[in-house]
This record gives sequence, C-alpha cells and structure tokens, in this order.
Amino acid sequence: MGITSKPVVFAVLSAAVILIGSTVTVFIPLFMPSTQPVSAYVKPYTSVELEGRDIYMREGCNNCHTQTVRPLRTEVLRYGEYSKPEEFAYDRPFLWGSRRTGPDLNRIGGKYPDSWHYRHMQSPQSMFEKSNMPPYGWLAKNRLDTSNSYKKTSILGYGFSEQDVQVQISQYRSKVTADTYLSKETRDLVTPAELHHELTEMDAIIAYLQKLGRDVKNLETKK
Amino acid sequence: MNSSALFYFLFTLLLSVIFGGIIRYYYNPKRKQKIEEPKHRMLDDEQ
Amino acid sequence: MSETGTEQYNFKIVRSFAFSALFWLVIGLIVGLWIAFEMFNPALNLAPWLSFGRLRVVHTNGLGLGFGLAGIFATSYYILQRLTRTALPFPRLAQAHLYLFNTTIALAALSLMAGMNTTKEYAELEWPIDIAVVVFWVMFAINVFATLIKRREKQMYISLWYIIAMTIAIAILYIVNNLEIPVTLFKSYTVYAGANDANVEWWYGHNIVGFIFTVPILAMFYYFLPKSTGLPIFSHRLSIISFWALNFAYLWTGAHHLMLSPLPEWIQTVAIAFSIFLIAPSWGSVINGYYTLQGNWEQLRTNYLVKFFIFGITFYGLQTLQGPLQGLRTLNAFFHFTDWVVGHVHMGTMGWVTMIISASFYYMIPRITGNQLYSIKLANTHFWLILVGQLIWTITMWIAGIQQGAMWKATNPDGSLMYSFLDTLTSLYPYYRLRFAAGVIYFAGILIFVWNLIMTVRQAPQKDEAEQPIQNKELQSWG
Repeated sequence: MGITSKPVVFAVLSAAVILIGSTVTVFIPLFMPSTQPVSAYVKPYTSVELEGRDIYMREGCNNCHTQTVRPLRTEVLRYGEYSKPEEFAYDRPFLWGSRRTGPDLNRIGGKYPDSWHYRHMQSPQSMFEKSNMPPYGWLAKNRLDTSNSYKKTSILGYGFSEQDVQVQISQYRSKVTADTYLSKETRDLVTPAELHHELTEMDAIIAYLQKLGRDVKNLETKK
Repeated sequence: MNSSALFYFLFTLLLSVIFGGIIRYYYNPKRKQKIEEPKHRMLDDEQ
Repeated sequence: MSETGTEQYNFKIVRSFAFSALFWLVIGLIVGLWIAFEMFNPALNLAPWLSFGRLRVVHTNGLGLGFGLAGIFATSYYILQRLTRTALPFPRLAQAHLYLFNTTIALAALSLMAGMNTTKEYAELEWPIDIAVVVFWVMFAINVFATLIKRREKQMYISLWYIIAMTIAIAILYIVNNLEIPVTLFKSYTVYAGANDANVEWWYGHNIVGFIFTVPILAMFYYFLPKSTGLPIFSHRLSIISFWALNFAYLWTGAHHLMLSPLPEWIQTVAIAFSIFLIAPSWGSVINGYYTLQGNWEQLRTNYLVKFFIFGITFYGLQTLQGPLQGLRTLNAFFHFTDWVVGHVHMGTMGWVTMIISASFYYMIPRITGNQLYSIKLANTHFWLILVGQLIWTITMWIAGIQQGAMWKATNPDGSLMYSFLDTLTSLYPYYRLRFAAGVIYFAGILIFVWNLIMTVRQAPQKDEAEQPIQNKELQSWG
C-alpha cells in the first residue's frame, strides 16, 4: 500500500519535503545580497584582530557572551546602538551567541582602555569580586602565533597582501611594546618579562575586543 | 492588502489545502483497515 | 538462504552501541556537573582545557553526539531488524561503524578541550572530525537502506519512517552547515558570512535537535511503547499525518533562534508561523501515546516501563508547547539569552530523550541477552531520581530565567537601568547552586541505570547471547 512499502521512494519524498523549507528560508537567502549587506564603513579585521578573534573562538567566549544588541529600549540603554546587519559582513563564522552569562560584547570596543582589559582578563575577580568569568591571565604567557595570519586573511578574502599583513602585525607590536603605550604599565604587569617585546595572545584578543562596534561608533561621531 | 500579505495568504491557503487533502486521504474509512494493519503486525514479530 | 532459519539477527552491535551510549552519558554528565559548578565557583577553571568556554561544548557534544547518537544507533539497529524481520546485511560494516563512531567522539572531546572549536553551536567540531562524522553516518545509512530493501515485512511501520527521515535530514544538515575552508589541520573558516552564517547555523541547530532529539526518539517511542505494553499504537493514520507535517514544518523554523537579530525580518516571521503550526504534529504523537494506553492505565502501576514512556511523552508535549511560545517576539524579547532557555532544553534532554532511551534499553538489553533485568526495583529508583532531578533542574532554571529577564529590563522612574549586569548575575547564584544539586540527584539516577544494565549483562549466559534465529513462521516471502 502506497509509499510505506517503498523505502526508496519514501526516502526521496522525505528528502524533498525536508528540502522545501530549507530552500526557501536558508538556501535562497544565501544568494540574496539583502541577507548580508556590505557597507563601506565596516572594515575587515586586521590580522592581529583576526588572530584575536580566533582566540576568542578557541576559548569558547561565545558560550557566555553574545554579540548582538537587539532593538529593545533597555538593551540599547545597557549596551549601545543596536546591531546592524552590515556589521557582520566579515564575520566567518558569526559570533552572535545564544546565552548571556556575561554581557553582550558587540559594543565593547572603545568602551574601556586596553589597561582595563589586561587587568580584567588577568583576573576578572580582582575587578568584580562576584564575577564568574574564568581568569585568562595565561593568554599573556603565550606568544602570538602569526605563521598562518596571511593564509587566514586570504581565505577570508580580506584583500590584504602578504606585506600588508606583516605591516599590520609589526605596527601593532610596536604600538603595544612602545614606552609611550598608554596601557604599558598594566601590560607589563600581566606579561612575562621575556614577552614584553613580543605580541601575546592577550594582546591579540584585546585588539579584537577593541574592534567590536568601532566602525559603528566612528560613523556616529562623524555624523 | 499589499502584495506580500496576499502572497503569505495564498501560500498559507495552499499548504492548508494540501494538509487537508492528506488528512482526507488517510482518514477515508475505505482505507482504515489497510492503513492500520502494520500496528498490529509489529506486535507479533517476537518469538 | 533466509528461508531456512539459519540467518541470525545481529544484536551484538545493538549491545555495543547501547553500552557506548551509557559510557558517553556518564562522561557527558560529569562534564555537565563540572561546568554547573563553575557557574557559581569560577575557581574550578583550573586549566585552559577545564575552562567553562571549552568544557561547555564537550558537555553538549558528548551528550548530543556521544550519548544521543549511540543510543539512536543501538535502538535503530534493533528496531530495523525486528520490524523488517531481516538480519543486518553488513554486520562487519556495522562493527566498523561502532569503532569509528567511538574513536570520533573521543577525538571530538579531546579536540574541543584543546580549543579546536568552530563555535557553531552543536557543530563545533573541526573539519577532519566532521569528515569522520560524515563517514560513519554513511556507514550507518548503508545498513539502514540495505535492510529496508531486503526486508521481509512489506509495510514499513512508523518507526522505520522516522529512522529514514533522520538518516536523510542529518546528512543534509550536517554537510551544509559544516562547509568550511581549512587553514590547517586543526583550523578552518566557514564558507558563510555574518547573517547568512547565522541563518544556516540555526537552521542546522534547530533541526539537529529535531532530528536527533525528536525524530529518532519518536521512532523509539512508537516501537517500544506498544512492544512493552502489548498494546497497538492508537492510530497509525494519525502518525502518518504527524510524520509528514513534522518533517515538512520543522525545517522552516530555525530562525526563531534569531528573533530580533539582524537577520531579515521575513525569515523570522515565517519561522514563528511554522513554529506555531508544529504544535499540531507534535501533539499528534502525544495524543497517540496517551490514547494507546486508553483502558489500560493500570499498566502505569504494574509495568515499570510505562512510566518512562508516559512521563517522557508528557515532557515532549510540554516542550513542544513551550518552544513555539518562546519564539513569539514579545516573549522572545524577554526570555532569549536567559536561563529560561537552558531550562527548556534540559526538560527535553533530561526528561523526554533520556527517559525514552532508558526505557528502550531496559526493554532491549534483557531480550538480546536472553536474561531478566537485574532489578526492576533499581529501575524504579532510577526513574524517580531522574524525574525529581530533572524537575528541580528545569524549574529552577525557569525561575532564574524569569528573574534574569525582569532584572535586565527593570528601569528606574527616571528611565535609567535599575540593575547592573553583575547585580543580575550575582542574584542568580542561589539558583545555580540548586541546579547543581539537582544535577547530582539526576546523575545518581543515571549511575543506577548504568549499574542495572551492566549487572543484567553480566549475569547473562556468555554463549550465543547476542544471536537469535529469525522466526519464520509468519514470514511473508516476497520481493
């Protein structure tokens, strides 16, 4: 009787039924530019920021922190301007998250100086006694591995040349290792002496955090 | 009514008609015996 | 050859997968307890590989892919052979499937602890492990379809439809969502960007839950409930309608995980509409379960397995009401990102999924070892512990979620926020402690479950335990 006695037909029909909703709501939108618009004001991550983003992913920060501010009054009040689709054009993968054990980070860039982040990453509890965030001081003990940085940006299509990547890395290193660096004292405090003149994983993840939401903020100040 | 509302309406209508059709087909008393047979057969596959 | 009765069902593979499931269940729960403790005591983040961010995915993958899939493979291999009255066509392939599966899950856990994490929820595994998952899935699918094609029972009973749908859907979902470009052996980037990646991921994330925690569990429910009660399922035709409606509608609803996000609004709206519709087929199965026992409710008292099925399907019913409601924009604005959702998920996994898999194992293991269950009394204790543990767990999280959502939204008369983020977090610690205690109760129940099954197998005769001749008397020979 009917398809329940024809396993192959049944399987094909199941696949077809499953694919209808998938096609309409997922596959077709992939080819619609309006799903993920691109805007000139949003800049791709620099190599250092991208390395920081990879560390953010490696440590699973997305399991506790979201990166989408919803268009709700109290949410905008707490975090800042709500998230716009074009901000995520260079995000592969997206890191919107699904759970807020910690606060949203989509507008964290520029909110605090680097020194705040060095201290906070080293020991969240030293700043907020009751915080349940794990300490990440050990990131400052790891030298940043930049051996794949160029390959990463080229896979992501950021359009940097190999030289661009080298320049970005050495510029950022010069910035955080300079005597004039505003957060030098805190950085030296959390970073082992032998890495004072190198880039660490801590430097990179802070560079990434400082990038989050910056393009939107820059646009607002320009207006 | 704008065109997208019309589209949503027609799409919902189409799905409802298909859904209704499937229910009518399987709930036709003529087919009851045959459709319900496997639930009895599955009970006697044991030793 | 099959007519002579020499062909044997292969139940050895069922047993191996069942005990693999139990192993990953215990591991996954220990990790779960560890991270539950970290939630109110960060001192437990002793090393990078023990930090919450890395362990949380070991917990979800260990239980979803380790326990869940192994349980599904065990029951599917059993149900397939029984309902088709056909032995597994490729037993060696199934054995290879078992080894590859357990190796993959072990490597998955280790790689996640090492921080190899794509961050896409329930798809965190890096590309080499993704390939291994696809390979063992294909091995499974070959045996599924070969058994169905060779089958000796003309009509396929409901459970087989669900197994077919799962086999196909998981393959599509897993491959599409995990398309990625390798950087090194341990690192890759997804091919999708931003909102598209989010859309693909939650299409996957929602449906992987659907096709691991719903569809195959329904296959078990529809098979083992009638088998353990001796009562035919209430309505086969209702199950047909439910089946197709569920399979059609499920795939439209992923974006209800992305309400009020930068994803285009029409995708969100369509997702809510189909989510509401999904209540119908879900409750079709709930009704089918309840009505099956019509006139025989005394079995709830006399048959220890019935409790698991009836409470399990009840949690499924609650789950499938709660889910669509959470998708509604106003409620979502309040509950999304809070502990409420964590409670929701765990009612499904600790209530529905684990109860049905437990009962299925209690039914299968004695039958394939040819021995009595070691202790029905222990099975009852197991039931009550996981029921009470789960209820305290989920209700605690619902309350925590309501409080959290309310505190996030609370404003002073002048319009400023009433509570800092940390105020809200610290107010939740009592709930997190209670949640941990509930988890311990639940874990105790699971340990009893594992012990009970180990003892059942150990007292079984060692000879020919896993092989039983196929009964030929009622076979329809055809094909």
